[in-house]
Amino acid sequence: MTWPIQHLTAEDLDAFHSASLNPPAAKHVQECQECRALLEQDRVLVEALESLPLFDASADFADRVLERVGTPAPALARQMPLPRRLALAASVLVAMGGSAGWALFNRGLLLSWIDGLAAGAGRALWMTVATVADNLADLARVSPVPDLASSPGRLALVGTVLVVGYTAAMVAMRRLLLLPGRPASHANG
Amino acid sequence: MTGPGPGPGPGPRLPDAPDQDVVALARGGDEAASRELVRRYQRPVFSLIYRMVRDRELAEDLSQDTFVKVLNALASYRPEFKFSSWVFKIANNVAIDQLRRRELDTLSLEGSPHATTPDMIEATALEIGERAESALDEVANRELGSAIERAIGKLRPEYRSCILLRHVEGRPYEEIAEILDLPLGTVKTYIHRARHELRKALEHLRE
Repeated sequence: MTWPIQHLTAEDLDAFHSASLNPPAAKHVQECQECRALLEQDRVLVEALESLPLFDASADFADRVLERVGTPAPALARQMPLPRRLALAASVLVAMGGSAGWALFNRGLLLSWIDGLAAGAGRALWMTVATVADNLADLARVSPVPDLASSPGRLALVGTVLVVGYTAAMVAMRRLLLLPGRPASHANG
Repeated sequence: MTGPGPGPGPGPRLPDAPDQDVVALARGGDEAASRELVRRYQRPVFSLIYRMVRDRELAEDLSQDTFVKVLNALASYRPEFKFSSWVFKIANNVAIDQLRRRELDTLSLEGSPHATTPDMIEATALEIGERAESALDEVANRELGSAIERAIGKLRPEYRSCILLRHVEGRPYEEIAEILDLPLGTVKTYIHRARHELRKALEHLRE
């Protein structure tokens, strides 16, 4: 009677690579040419795999990643070369000096422009206030608003409703206007 | 690279700091820490993705996508997990998604089968690194290395991920199971089947 031959299993191959092959399997390897050949092939393969080189990404790889991540952009001072920065600063100074000089020699004209602008703005503001007041007065004549304020209790109730409604509207508006906080998780790629 | 260490603040220099400390700094918006994380993992991540997709330019883009995702999702990273496993998980998912989209799952060392011009073939061919060895050894190793790269390119993508993580990156089975979200037994099976296919593919070299 012959027992079935027990060749090496996958676990035995791993054990061989970690130098922990159990004695029965080691004995089998000594006797079985087929398993010895398998071990040798696997050893060569694993060594070759482990010696495969790593590849280098491009030299500016990290810069490009950080640009895309949204790292704060470099300040203007770092982005712009020094001569261009000096030229820009000189242009701003010349423009400021020029406008100040022109204002000194044309004070009358400048004051008349300012007066005109202020008068226009005042007229517009007054027209707006007057129009809103007229509309409110008309509304009071045709609407039940005066009835609501006819007793202190009703007035308090209306006031409370208005305050609660206003607060709720502000909270809702704030939620609508807030930008999303943290980005969503990308752990699963 | 990982392990317990002092928290952010006065401590080891950035290149010597454990991953978790550098991550904590990067989470706080420290650009140098983010750059350090990219520096630590760009070679293994790029190599893994390059061997998966077999296209240098594409691998570069996908590696960038990987790090952008890593850095943008640092807030959701849980420090009880190994940082390198998390990075490789994202890299592998990015590569597998690309392979599914482009069906680039059986590529050869000579270049992508989708390459239609000599320039594209050259652009998608894997470059075998040069090694300082004797001329004969170098020829033999280059031949074996080329044959292995070619054979890896013909493996199923899931076998390819497993064999690269196990034998090129040197990750233990348990970590590979975590990275690939696969049961431990499945990972072992994939690796043994992949080694079996690679041994068969390399048989001609022994003749």
